[in-house]
Amino acid sequence: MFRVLVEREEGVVYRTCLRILGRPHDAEDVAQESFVMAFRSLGSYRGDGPLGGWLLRIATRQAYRRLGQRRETAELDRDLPLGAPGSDPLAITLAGERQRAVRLAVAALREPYREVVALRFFGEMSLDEIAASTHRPLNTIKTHLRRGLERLRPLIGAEGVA
Amino acid sequence: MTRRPFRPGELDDPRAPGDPTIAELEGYVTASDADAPHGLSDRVMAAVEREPTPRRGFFAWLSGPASAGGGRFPRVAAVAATLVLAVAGALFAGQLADLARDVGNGPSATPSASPSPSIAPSTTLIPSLSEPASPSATPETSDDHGGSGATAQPTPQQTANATPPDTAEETTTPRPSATATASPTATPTETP
Repeated sequence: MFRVLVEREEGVVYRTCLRILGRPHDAEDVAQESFVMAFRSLGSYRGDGPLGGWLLRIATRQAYRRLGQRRETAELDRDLPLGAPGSDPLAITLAGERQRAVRLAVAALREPYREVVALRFFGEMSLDEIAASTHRPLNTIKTHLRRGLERLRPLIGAEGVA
Repeated sequence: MTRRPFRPGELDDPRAPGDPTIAELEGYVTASDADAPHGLSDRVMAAVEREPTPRRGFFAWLSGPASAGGGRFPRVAAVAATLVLAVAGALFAGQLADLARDVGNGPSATPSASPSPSIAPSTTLIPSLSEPASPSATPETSDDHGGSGATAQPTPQQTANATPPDTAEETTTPRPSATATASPTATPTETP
């Protein structure tokens, strides 16, 4: 029964972790941890929101926790750019810098803005789904997202990312 | 292209569609689009099978992970505080019950104890009265009359004067008050 949930949600959970962490190996690790954690706490799932959203919230928190631990230790290796930016070394480097800037800017947001931005863009959830999963009114979610984007504006965007 | 692109009216904000921040985020999301690695679900299920069966209700809430909501430490602290309060309440209730029992038994304890003092004075009063009376009588009589008549005089005076109040107090009052009042008051009045 739990396998059905894993097979249905593994893609979105892995992608969300990858977008937060920027490293495929870490993303796979955290995705697996998140599924195990969700299995352990299935009894606490109240059933009043989408199961996928509940799972994605666990994954998001776990991924940011892992990111915090990684920063605390040492950042020995630079993240490679995700996707296929081409074969030009300069383009690869620039794409890597740009992606890293986006990741770090979102990670630097305070809660609840970070969670809402991450769920909306990295988790690709709709605002209705976020509202149902977080048990907050839709207008509150909109406000959180708007304020989160305002705080991101100086960091990323036309003037933020070089 | 993201799987769920940002719609213009999503935030009720007219600036949102052309927002470079949203464009940057969507560009990042498009670049990082990837499928889950092969075998992830098998590894997850292998890890899940090593886990004990999930519990429901209170124990699930207590032992659930911190990221599932609430935080583990506050939950454990709340349970510990509840247990401490329950134990303290039980102890307090027990002490209160003991106190109430003692208060309830207070009047009934004195009647049950009274028969034993009433028996005891009859045995202890006679020596205690005779002992203080004889030393107080002998010095005074020895000063007035000398050594020979001292032994003869106190006995009639004591038996005549001291016995009525002693016997009267003995019968009415218990032992401690009888011994305290009888011996000091009897001796000064006898000597003049």
